[in-house]
Amino acid sequence: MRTHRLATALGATALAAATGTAFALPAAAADGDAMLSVLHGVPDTTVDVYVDGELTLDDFEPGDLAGPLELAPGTYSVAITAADAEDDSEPVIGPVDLPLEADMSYTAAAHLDAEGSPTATLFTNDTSQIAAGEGRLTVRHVAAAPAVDVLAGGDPVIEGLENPDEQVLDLPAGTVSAAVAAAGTTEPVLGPADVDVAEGVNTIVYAWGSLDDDSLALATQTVEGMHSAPGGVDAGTTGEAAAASHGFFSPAVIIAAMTALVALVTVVGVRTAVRVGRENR
Amino acid sequence: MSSTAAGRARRPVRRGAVLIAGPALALALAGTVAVAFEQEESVGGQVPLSEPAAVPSASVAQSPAPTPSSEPAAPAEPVTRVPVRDAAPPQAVDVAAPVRVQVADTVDVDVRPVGVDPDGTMELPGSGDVAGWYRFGAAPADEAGTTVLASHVDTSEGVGAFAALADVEPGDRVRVTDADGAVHDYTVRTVERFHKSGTPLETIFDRTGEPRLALVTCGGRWDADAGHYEDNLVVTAVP
Repeated sequence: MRTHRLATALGATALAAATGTAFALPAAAADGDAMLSVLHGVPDTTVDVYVDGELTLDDFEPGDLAGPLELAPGTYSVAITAADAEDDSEPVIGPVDLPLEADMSYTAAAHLDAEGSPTATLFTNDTSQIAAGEGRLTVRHVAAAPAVDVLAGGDPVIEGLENPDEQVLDLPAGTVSAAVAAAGTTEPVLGPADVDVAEGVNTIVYAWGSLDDDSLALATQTVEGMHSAPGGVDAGTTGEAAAASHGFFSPAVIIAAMTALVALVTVVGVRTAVRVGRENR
Repeated sequence: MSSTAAGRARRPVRRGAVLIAGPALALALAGTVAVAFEQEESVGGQVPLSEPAAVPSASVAQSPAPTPSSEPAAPAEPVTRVPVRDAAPPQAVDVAAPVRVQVADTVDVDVRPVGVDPDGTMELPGSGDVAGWYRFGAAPADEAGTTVLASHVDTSEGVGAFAALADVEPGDRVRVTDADGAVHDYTVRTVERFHKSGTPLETIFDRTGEPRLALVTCGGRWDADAGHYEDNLVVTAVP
Protein backbone atom coordinates (compact mmCIF):
# COMPACT_ATOMS: atom_id res chain seq x y z
CA MET A 1 0.00 0.00 0.00
CA ARG A 2 2.74 2.38 1.03
CA THR A 3 4.82 1.38 -1.98
CA HIS A 4 1.88 1.91 -4.28
CA ARG A 5 1.21 5.35 -2.85
CA LEU A 6 4.86 6.29 -3.22
CA ALA A 7 4.84 5.06 -6.82
CA THR A 8 1.80 7.19 -7.55
CA ALA A 9 3.45 10.22 -6.02
CA LEU A 10 6.60 9.65 -8.02
CA GLY A 11 4.53 9.16 -11.15
CA ALA A 12 2.76 12.45 -10.61
CA THR A 13 6.07 14.22 -10.00
CA ALA A 14 7.56 12.67 -13.13
CA LEU A 15 4.52 13.71 -15.14
CA ALA A 16 4.72 17.25 -13.81
CA ALA A 17 8.42 17.36 -14.57
CA ALA A 18 7.84 16.03 -18.09
CA THR A 19 5.08 18.56 -18.69
CA GLY A 20 7.28 21.33 -17.35
CA THR A 21 10.08 20.30 -19.66
CA ALA A 22 7.74 20.19 -22.63
CA PHE A 23 6.51 23.67 -21.86
CA ALA A 24 10.04 24.98 -21.34
CA LEU A 25 11.29 23.82 -24.73
CA PRO A 26 12.29 26.93 -26.65
CA ALA A 27 10.83 27.49 -30.07
CA ALA A 28 13.99 28.08 -32.00
CA ALA A 29 17.17 26.95 -30.31
CA ALA A 30 18.53 24.28 -28.08
CA ASP A 31 18.48 25.44 -24.47
CA GLY A 32 21.56 27.44 -23.64
CA ASP A 33 22.73 28.02 -27.19
CA ALA A 34 23.82 31.46 -28.33
CA MET A 35 22.28 32.86 -31.51
CA LEU A 36 24.67 34.52 -33.95
CA SER A 37 23.69 36.40 -37.10
CA VAL A 38 26.21 37.89 -39.49
CA LEU A 39 25.68 41.07 -41.48
CA HIS A 40 27.79 41.96 -44.49
CA GLY A 41 28.05 45.75 -44.54
CA VAL A 42 31.19 46.33 -46.60
CA PRO A 43 30.23 47.71 -50.03
CA ASP A 44 31.37 46.13 -53.30
CA THR A 45 33.15 43.13 -51.77
CA THR A 46 31.93 39.54 -51.86
CA VAL A 47 33.61 37.57 -49.07
CA ASP A 48 33.89 34.20 -47.37
CA VAL A 49 33.44 33.88 -43.63
CA TYR A 50 35.40 31.35 -41.59
CA VAL A 51 34.43 30.39 -38.06
CA ASP A 52 37.17 28.61 -36.09
CA GLY A 53 39.01 27.91 -39.34
CA GLU A 54 36.01 26.36 -41.12
CA LEU A 55 34.31 27.95 -44.11
CA THR A 56 30.83 28.87 -42.83
CA LEU A 57 29.55 31.47 -45.31
CA ASP A 58 30.56 31.14 -48.91
CA ASP A 59 30.31 34.04 -51.37
CA PHE A 60 28.64 36.29 -48.83
CA GLU A 61 27.33 39.41 -50.59
CA PRO A 62 27.12 43.02 -49.34
CA GLY A 63 23.74 43.84 -47.78
CA ASP A 64 23.05 40.20 -46.91
CA LEU A 65 22.24 38.84 -43.48
CA ALA A 66 23.13 35.27 -42.53
CA GLY A 67 21.82 33.18 -39.70
CA PRO A 68 21.00 32.91 -37.01
CA LEU A 69 23.54 30.22 -36.24
CA GLU A 70 22.84 28.29 -33.05
CA LEU A 71 26.15 27.93 -31.26
CA ALA A 72 27.18 26.45 -27.94
CA PRO A 73 28.45 29.17 -25.59
CA GLY A 74 32.14 29.90 -26.00
CA THR A 75 34.60 32.09 -27.85
CA TYR A 76 34.69 31.76 -31.63
CA SER A 77 37.34 33.07 -33.96
CA VAL A 78 35.92 34.67 -37.09
CA ALA A 79 37.96 35.54 -40.16
CA ILE A 80 36.64 37.19 -43.30
CA THR A 81 38.51 36.55 -46.53
CA ALA A 82 38.24 37.35 -50.21
CA ALA A 83 35.63 35.17 -51.90
CA ASP A 84 38.17 33.07 -53.79
CA ALA A 85 40.46 32.37 -50.84
CA GLU A 86 41.50 28.77 -50.29
CA ASP A 87 41.52 29.10 -46.50
CA ASP A 88 41.50 31.75 -43.77
CA SER A 89 45.25 32.37 -43.73
CA GLU A 90 44.95 35.81 -45.38
CA PRO A 91 41.88 37.49 -43.91
CA VAL A 92 40.72 40.93 -45.04
CA ILE A 93 39.01 41.39 -41.66
CA GLY A 94 40.10 39.68 -38.47
CA PRO A 95 40.52 37.16 -37.19
CA VAL A 96 38.40 38.51 -34.32
CA ASP A 97 37.35 36.65 -31.18
CA LEU A 98 33.60 36.59 -30.50
CA PRO A 99 32.80 35.63 -26.89
CA LEU A 100 29.24 34.25 -26.99
CA GLU A 101 27.25 33.63 -23.80
CA ALA A 102 24.39 31.19 -23.31
CA ASP A 103 20.86 32.25 -24.35
CA MET A 104 22.10 35.54 -25.81
CA SER A 105 21.49 36.91 -29.28
CA TYR A 106 24.34 38.51 -31.25
CA THR A 107 25.00 40.04 -34.62
CA ALA A 108 28.53 40.22 -35.98
CA ALA A 109 28.74 42.97 -38.57
CA ALA A 110 31.49 43.27 -41.12
CA HIS A 111 31.49 46.93 -42.03
CA LEU A 112 33.46 50.10 -42.65
CA ASP A 113 34.67 52.28 -39.79
CA ALA A 114 33.98 56.02 -39.84
CA GLU A 115 37.09 56.59 -42.00
CA GLY A 116 36.21 53.85 -44.49
CA SER A 117 38.48 50.96 -43.42
CA PRO A 118 36.97 47.43 -43.17
CA THR A 119 36.37 46.24 -39.62
CA ALA A 120 34.05 43.98 -37.62
CA THR A 121 31.84 44.67 -34.62
CA LEU A 122 29.99 42.23 -32.38
CA PHE A 123 26.63 43.61 -31.26
CA THR A 124 24.49 42.11 -28.50
CA ASN A 125 20.81 42.17 -29.49
CA ASP A 126 18.44 43.32 -26.73
CA THR A 127 16.06 40.40 -26.12
CA SER A 128 14.52 41.68 -22.89
CA GLN A 129 10.72 41.63 -22.65
CA ILE A 130 8.86 44.38 -24.50
CA ALA A 131 5.69 45.93 -23.07
CA ALA A 132 2.42 44.91 -24.71
CA GLY A 133 1.65 47.11 -27.71
CA GLU A 134 5.25 48.20 -28.21
CA GLY A 135 8.04 47.28 -30.55
CA ARG A 136 11.78 47.81 -30.16
CA LEU A 137 13.80 49.82 -32.65
CA THR A 138 17.58 49.42 -32.57
CA VAL A 139 19.64 51.69 -34.81
CA ARG A 140 23.30 50.85 -35.53
CA HIS A 141 25.74 53.15 -37.29
CA VAL A 142 28.15 50.98 -39.29
CA ALA A 143 28.75 53.35 -42.21
CA ALA A 144 31.78 55.33 -43.28
CA ALA A 145 30.21 58.59 -42.16
CA PRO A 146 30.46 61.05 -39.27
CA ALA A 147 27.94 61.20 -36.41
CA VAL A 148 24.30 61.11 -37.52
CA ASP A 149 20.84 61.89 -36.22
CA VAL A 150 17.96 59.49 -36.84
CA LEU A 151 14.66 61.15 -37.74
CA ALA A 152 11.26 59.55 -37.26
CA GLY A 153 8.51 61.37 -39.11
CA GLY A 154 10.95 64.26 -39.62
CA ASP A 155 11.82 64.71 -35.93
CA PRO A 156 15.14 63.62 -34.46
CA VAL A 157 14.65 60.64 -32.12
CA ILE A 158 18.32 59.68 -31.91
CA GLU A 159 21.02 62.34 -31.93
CA GLY A 160 24.76 62.20 -32.43
CA LEU A 161 25.06 58.45 -33.12
CA GLU A 162 28.62 57.52 -34.06
CA ASN A 163 30.16 54.53 -35.82
CA PRO A 164 30.05 51.76 -34.47
CA ASP A 165 27.49 52.67 -31.79
CA GLU A 166 23.85 51.75 -31.41
CA GLN A 167 20.77 53.17 -29.74
CA VAL A 168 17.69 51.26 -28.62
CA LEU A 169 14.14 52.65 -28.34
CA ASP A 170 10.88 50.98 -27.37
CA LEU A 171 8.03 52.58 -29.35
CA PRO A 172 4.32 52.00 -29.89
CA ALA A 173 4.19 49.31 -32.57
CA GLY A 174 3.65 50.56 -36.11
CA THR A 175 5.36 51.79 -39.22
CA VAL A 176 7.99 54.47 -38.67
CA SER A 177 9.13 56.75 -41.46
CA ALA A 178 12.84 56.76 -40.63
CA ALA A 179 15.62 58.87 -42.12
CA VAL A 180 19.27 59.47 -41.33
CA ALA A 181 20.79 62.97 -41.39
CA ALA A 182 24.18 64.39 -40.50
CA ALA A 183 24.17 65.22 -36.77
CA GLY A 184 22.45 68.50 -36.08
CA THR A 185 20.69 68.63 -39.43
CA THR A 186 17.30 67.44 -40.71
CA GLU A 187 18.17 66.97 -44.39
CA PRO A 188 18.23 63.18 -44.95
CA VAL A 189 21.36 61.59 -46.35
CA LEU A 190 19.54 58.25 -46.23
CA GLY A 191 15.78 57.65 -46.43
CA PRO A 192 13.14 58.35 -45.42
CA ALA A 193 12.19 54.67 -45.52
CA ASP A 194 9.19 52.93 -43.93
CA VAL A 195 10.35 50.65 -41.14
CA ASP A 196 7.83 48.23 -39.67
CA VAL A 197 8.41 48.27 -35.90
CA ALA A 198 6.39 45.14 -35.16
CA GLU A 199 4.93 44.51 -31.71
CA GLY A 200 7.09 42.37 -29.43
CA VAL A 201 9.92 42.35 -31.98
CA ASN A 202 13.36 43.96 -31.93
CA THR A 203 13.73 45.54 -35.38
CA ILE A 204 17.39 46.33 -35.91
CA VAL A 205 18.25 48.89 -38.59
CA TYR A 206 21.80 49.30 -39.85
CA ALA A 207 23.02 52.36 -41.70
CA TRP A 208 25.90 50.97 -43.78
CA GLY A 209 28.00 51.87 -46.80
CA SER A 210 29.96 55.04 -47.38
CA LEU A 211 28.83 58.65 -47.41
CA ASP A 212 31.73 59.76 -49.66
CA ASP A 213 31.06 56.98 -52.18
CA ASP A 214 27.34 57.72 -52.12
CA SER A 215 26.67 54.10 -51.14
CA LEU A 216 24.74 54.58 -47.88
CA ALA A 217 21.99 52.00 -47.45
CA LEU A 218 19.70 50.53 -44.79
CA ALA A 219 19.77 46.90 -43.72
CA THR A 220 17.34 45.37 -41.24
CA GLN A 221 17.19 42.36 -38.99
CA THR A 222 14.42 41.21 -36.68
CA VAL A 223 14.64 39.28 -33.43
CA GLU A 224 11.23 38.00 -32.34
CA GLY A 225 9.56 36.51 -29.29
CA MET A 226 9.91 39.24 -26.62
CA HIS A 227 6.22 40.18 -26.57
CA SER A 228 4.18 40.46 -23.38
CA ALA A 229 0.48 39.83 -22.75
CA PRO A 230 -1.66 42.86 -21.94
CA GLY A 231 -1.94 43.64 -18.24
CA GLY A 232 -5.59 42.65 -18.09
CA VAL A 233 -8.98 42.77 -19.73
CA ASP A 234 -11.28 45.27 -18.02
CA ALA A 235 -14.49 44.48 -19.81
CA GLY A 236 -17.23 46.11 -17.75
CA THR A 237 -18.00 49.73 -17.01
CA THR A 238 -21.26 50.08 -15.08
CA GLY A 239 -22.18 46.93 -13.17
CA GLU A 240 -25.46 46.76 -15.02
CA ALA A 241 -24.88 43.21 -16.25
CA ALA A 242 -24.53 42.03 -12.64
CA ALA A 243 -27.58 44.01 -11.58
CA ALA A 244 -29.55 42.63 -14.54
CA SER A 245 -28.93 39.07 -13.45
CA HIS A 246 -30.53 39.54 -9.97
CA GLY A 247 -33.19 36.99 -9.26
CA PHE A 248 -35.30 36.91 -6.12
CA PHE A 249 -32.20 37.54 -3.99
CA SER A 250 -31.69 41.24 -4.60
CA PRO A 251 -29.13 42.86 -2.28
CA ALA A 252 -31.92 44.48 -0.22
CA VAL A 253 -33.65 41.15 0.39
CA ILE A 254 -30.38 39.48 1.37
CA ILE A 255 -29.36 42.26 3.77
CA ALA A 256 -32.81 42.18 5.39
CA ALA A 257 -32.66 38.38 5.74
CA MET A 258 -29.19 38.50 7.29
CA THR A 259 -30.21 41.27 9.72
CA ALA A 260 -33.22 39.24 10.82
CA LEU A 261 -31.06 36.14 11.26
CA VAL A 262 -28.47 37.93 13.37
CA ALA A 263 -31.22 39.47 15.52
CA LEU A 264 -32.83 36.07 16.07
CA VAL A 265 -29.53 34.43 17.03
CA THR A 266 -28.71 37.29 19.43
CA VAL A 267 -32.06 36.98 21.17
CA VAL A 268 -31.74 33.20 21.51
CA GLY A 269 -28.16 33.55 22.71
CA VAL A 270 -29.01 36.17 25.35
CA ARG A 271 -31.99 34.16 26.66
CA THR A 272 -29.87 31.05 26.91
CA ALA A 273 -27.13 32.91 28.73
CA VAL A 274 -29.65 34.38 31.19
CA ARG A 275 -31.18 30.95 31.86
CA VAL A 276 -27.77 29.35 32.36
CA GLY A 277 -26.85 32.15 34.71
CA ARG A 278 -30.04 31.65 36.78
CA GLU A 279 -29.58 27.88 37.04
CA ASN A 280 -25.99 28.24 38.12
CA ARG A 281 -26.93 30.62 40.87
CA MET B 1 -21.64 11.51 44.58
CA SER B 2 -19.20 11.46 41.74
CA SER B 3 -21.96 10.91 39.17
CA THR B 4 -23.98 13.87 40.54
CA ALA B 5 -20.95 16.11 40.44
CA ALA B 6 -20.23 15.03 36.93
CA GLY B 7 -23.86 15.65 35.91
CA ARG B 8 -23.81 19.12 37.47
CA ALA B 9 -20.51 19.90 35.83
CA ARG B 10 -21.74 18.72 32.44
CA ARG B 11 -24.79 21.00 32.35
CA PRO B 12 -23.06 24.40 32.02
CA VAL B 13 -20.80 22.84 29.41
CA ARG B 14 -23.85 21.81 27.38
CA ARG B 15 -25.38 25.27 27.71
CA GLY B 16 -22.04 26.75 26.78
CA ALA B 17 -22.02 24.60 23.69
CA VAL B 18 -25.37 26.06 22.70
CA LEU B 19 -23.95 29.55 23.21
CA ILE B 20 -21.13 28.73 20.84
CA ALA B 21 -23.21 26.71 18.40
CA GLY B 22 -25.79 29.47 17.98
CA PRO B 23 -23.47 32.07 16.47
CA ALA B 24 -21.62 29.35 14.55
CA LEU B 25 -24.89 28.27 12.96
CA ALA B 26 -25.70 31.88 12.18
CA LEU B 27 -22.32 32.33 10.53
CA ALA B 28 -22.80 29.16 8.49
CA LEU B 29 -26.23 30.35 7.36
CA ALA B 30 -24.82 33.76 6.57
CA GLY B 31 -22.12 32.04 4.52
CA THR B 32 -24.76 30.13 2.57
CA VAL B 33 -26.66 33.34 1.94
CA ALA B 34 -23.42 35.03 0.88
CA VAL B 35 -22.85 32.27 -1.69
CA ALA B 36 -26.39 32.80 -2.98
CA PHE B 37 -25.66 36.52 -2.96
CA GLU B 38 -22.61 36.06 -5.17
CA GLN B 39 -24.39 33.73 -7.54
CA GLU B 40 -27.35 35.99 -7.94
CA GLU B 41 -25.66 39.38 -8.05
CA SER B 42 -22.89 38.61 -10.47
CA VAL B 43 -22.17 37.70 -14.05
CA GLY B 44 -21.43 34.04 -14.63
CA GLY B 45 -21.73 33.24 -10.93
CA GLN B 46 -22.68 29.66 -11.82
CA VAL B 47 -19.28 29.24 -13.48
CA PRO B 48 -16.87 27.99 -10.82
CA LEU B 49 -13.78 30.10 -10.15
CA SER B 50 -10.75 28.50 -11.80
CA GLU B 51 -7.12 28.50 -10.79
CA PRO B 52 -4.73 29.48 -13.57
CA ALA B 53 -2.60 26.64 -14.93
CA ALA B 54 1.16 26.71 -15.23
CA VAL B 55 2.38 29.07 -17.91
CA PRO B 56 5.03 28.18 -20.47
CA SER B 57 7.79 30.73 -20.46
CA ALA B 58 8.09 32.76 -23.62
CA SER B 59 11.18 31.99 -25.60
CA VAL B 60 13.11 34.23 -27.89
CA ALA B 61 13.09 33.23 -31.54
CA GLN B 62 14.87 34.87 -34.40
CA SER B 63 13.09 35.01 -37.73
CA PRO B 64 14.78 32.48 -39.97
CA ALA B 65 16.20 33.78 -43.21
CA PRO B 66 14.13 32.20 -45.97
CA THR B 67 16.58 31.78 -48.82
CA PRO B 68 19.49 29.32 -48.75
CA SER B 69 22.95 30.51 -49.66
CA SER B 70 24.07 30.22 -53.23
CA GLU B 71 26.04 27.22 -54.51
CA PRO B 72 29.70 27.26 -53.43
CA ALA B 73 32.07 28.51 -56.11
CA ALA B 74 35.24 29.04 -54.07
CA PRO B 75 37.78 26.29 -53.59
CA ALA B 76 36.70 25.60 -50.03
CA GLU B 77 33.28 24.09 -49.20
CA PRO B 78 31.17 25.41 -46.31
CA VAL B 79 30.73 22.92 -43.49
CA THR B 80 27.18 23.91 -42.68
CA ARG B 81 24.45 25.49 -44.75
CA VAL B 82 23.52 28.85 -43.17
CA PRO B 83 20.38 30.69 -44.34
CA VAL B 84 21.20 34.03 -45.96
CA ARG B 85 18.79 36.74 -47.02
CA ASP B 86 18.88 40.24 -48.40
CA ALA B 87 18.68 42.54 -45.37
CA ALA B 88 16.69 45.25 -47.18
CA PRO B 89 13.79 46.49 -45.00
CA PRO B 90 10.86 44.03 -45.19
CA GLN B 91 7.25 45.08 -45.60
CA ALA B 92 4.65 44.60 -42.88
CA VAL B 93 2.61 41.45 -43.47
CA ASP B 94 -1.15 41.84 -43.67
CA VAL B 95 -3.33 39.27 -41.98
CA ALA B 96 -7.07 38.78 -42.44
CA ALA B 97 -8.68 40.38 -39.38
CA PRO B 98 -11.80 38.78 -37.91
CA VAL B 99 -14.87 40.91 -38.63
CA ARG B 100 -17.77 38.95 -37.07
CA VAL B 101 -18.26 36.44 -34.26
CA GLN B 102 -21.32 34.29 -33.62
CA VAL B 103 -21.67 32.20 -30.45
CA ALA B 104 -24.38 29.53 -30.36
CA ASP B 105 -27.67 31.38 -30.93
CA THR B 106 -26.98 34.10 -28.39
CA VAL B 107 -24.14 36.31 -29.65
CA ASP B 108 -23.71 37.82 -33.11
CA VAL B 109 -21.53 40.94 -33.18
CA ASP B 110 -19.09 42.78 -35.41
CA VAL B 111 -15.39 42.65 -34.57
CA ARG B 112 -12.78 45.36 -35.01
CA PRO B 113 -9.01 45.36 -34.37
CA VAL B 114 -7.80 46.78 -31.05
CA GLY B 115 -4.46 47.15 -29.32
CA VAL B 116 -3.37 48.18 -25.83
CA ASP B 117 -4.69 51.00 -23.65
CA PRO B 118 -2.23 53.46 -22.05
CA ASP B 119 -2.55 51.56 -18.74
CA GLY B 120 -1.30 48.38 -20.40
CA THR B 121 -4.63 46.56 -20.45
CA MET B 122 -6.29 45.34 -23.63
CA GLU B 123 -8.10 48.07 -25.54
CA LEU B 124 -11.84 47.43 -25.99
CA PRO B 125 -14.47 48.92 -28.30
CA GLY B 126 -16.63 51.45 -26.47
CA SER B 127 -19.79 49.63 -27.46
CA GLY B 128 -20.89 46.36 -25.91
CA ASP B 129 -22.31 45.39 -29.29
CA VAL B 130 -18.85 45.23 -30.88
CA ALA B 131 -16.01 42.88 -29.95
CA GLY B 132 -12.32 43.81 -30.10
CA TRP B 133 -9.74 41.54 -31.73
CA TYR B 134 -6.28 41.75 -30.13
CA ARG B 135 -4.41 42.60 -33.32
CA PHE B 136 -0.94 41.85 -31.91
CA GLY B 137 -1.91 38.23 -31.28
CA ALA B 138 -2.99 35.48 -33.65
CA ALA B 139 -5.63 35.87 -36.39
CA PRO B 140 -8.11 33.05 -37.16
CA ALA B 141 -6.22 31.97 -40.29
CA ASP B 142 -2.89 31.74 -38.46
CA GLU B 143 -1.39 28.30 -38.00
CA ALA B 144 -0.50 28.90 -34.36
CA GLY B 145 -1.67 30.84 -31.33
CA THR B 146 -4.87 32.10 -29.79
CA THR B 147 -7.20 34.57 -31.49
CA VAL B 148 -8.45 36.79 -28.64
CA LEU B 149 -11.82 38.56 -28.90
CA ALA B 150 -13.07 40.64 -25.97
CA SER B 151 -16.01 42.91 -25.32
CA HIS B 152 -17.56 44.88 -22.47
CA VAL B 153 -20.15 42.98 -20.43
CA ASP B 154 -21.89 46.33 -19.86
CA THR B 155 -21.51 49.95 -20.94
CA SER B 156 -23.45 53.17 -20.46
CA GLU B 157 -25.59 51.92 -23.37
CA GLY B 158 -26.66 48.85 -21.40
CA VAL B 159 -25.76 45.19 -21.07
CA GLY B 160 -23.25 44.03 -23.69
CA ALA B 161 -23.63 41.08 -26.05
CA PHE B 162 -20.83 39.16 -24.30
CA ALA B 163 -22.90 39.01 -21.09
CA ALA B 164 -24.46 35.96 -22.76
CA LEU B 165 -21.09 34.14 -22.55
CA ALA B 166 -21.99 33.26 -18.96
CA ASP B 167 -24.57 30.81 -20.33
CA VAL B 168 -22.29 29.21 -22.93
CA GLU B 169 -21.46 25.53 -22.39
CA PRO B 170 -18.73 23.22 -23.65
CA GLY B 171 -19.75 21.83 -27.02
CA ASP B 172 -21.45 25.03 -28.17
CA ARG B 173 -20.52 26.23 -31.64
CA VAL B 174 -18.65 29.47 -32.39
CA ARG B 175 -18.23 30.93 -35.87
CA VAL B 176 -15.72 33.66 -36.78
CA THR B 177 -15.74 35.35 -40.18
CA ASP B 178 -12.61 37.18 -41.30
CA ALA B 179 -12.01 40.09 -43.67
CA ASP B 180 -11.29 37.69 -46.55
CA GLY B 181 -14.75 36.20 -46.08
CA ALA B 182 -13.29 32.97 -44.72
CA VAL B 183 -15.42 31.23 -42.08
CA HIS B 184 -13.71 29.64 -39.08
CA ASP B 185 -15.79 27.26 -36.95
CA TYR B 186 -14.89 26.41 -33.38
CA THR B 187 -16.29 24.24 -30.60
CA VAL B 188 -16.32 25.55 -27.05
CA ARG B 189 -13.95 23.53 -24.88
CA THR B 190 -14.00 25.42 -21.58
CA VAL B 191 -15.96 28.18 -19.84
CA GLU B 192 -13.90 29.50 -16.93
CA ARG B 193 -14.14 32.32 -14.42
CA PHE B 194 -10.94 33.74 -12.93
CA HIS B 195 -10.43 36.34 -10.25
CA LYS B 196 -8.67 39.11 -12.18
CA SER B 197 -5.51 38.80 -10.10
CA GLY B 198 -5.27 35.19 -11.29
CA THR B 199 -6.46 35.47 -14.87
CA PRO B 200 -3.87 33.48 -16.89
CA LEU B 201 -3.12 36.27 -19.36
CA GLU B 202 0.01 34.59 -20.73
CA THR B 203 -2.05 31.53 -21.64
CA ILE B 204 -5.01 33.48 -23.03
CA PHE B 205 -2.75 35.64 -25.19
CA ASP B 206 -0.42 32.78 -26.16
CA ARG B 207 0.89 33.26 -29.70
CA THR B 208 2.24 29.73 -30.01
CA GLY B 209 0.73 26.25 -29.97
CA GLU B 210 -2.45 24.96 -31.56
CA PRO B 211 -4.84 27.54 -33.07
CA ARG B 212 -7.46 28.47 -30.50
CA LEU B 213 -10.11 31.11 -29.93
CA ALA B 214 -10.58 32.94 -26.62
CA LEU B 215 -13.67 35.04 -25.90
CA VAL B 216 -13.10 37.28 -22.90
CA THR B 217 -15.38 39.54 -20.90
CA CYS B 218 -15.93 40.42 -17.27
CA GLY B 219 -17.75 38.36 -14.68
CA GLY B 220 -18.28 37.87 -11.01
CA ARG B 221 -19.26 40.72 -8.71
CA TRP B 222 -19.28 44.38 -9.59
CA ASP B 223 -16.89 46.33 -7.35
CA ALA B 224 -18.61 49.71 -7.33
CA ASP B 225 -15.77 51.40 -5.40
CA ALA B 226 -13.11 50.27 -7.87
CA GLY B 227 -15.42 50.64 -10.86
CA HIS B 228 -14.75 47.20 -12.30
CA TYR B 229 -15.78 43.58 -12.07
CA GLU B 230 -13.82 41.25 -9.83
CA ASP B 231 -13.48 38.42 -12.34
CA ASN B 232 -12.85 37.62 -15.98
CA LEU B 233 -15.06 35.16 -17.85
CA VAL B 234 -13.08 33.25 -20.47
CA VAL B 235 -14.54 30.97 -23.13
CA THR B 236 -11.95 28.88 -24.96
CA ALA B 237 -12.85 27.17 -28.23
CA VAL B 238 -10.91 24.98 -30.65
CA PRO B 239 -11.35 24.44 -34.41
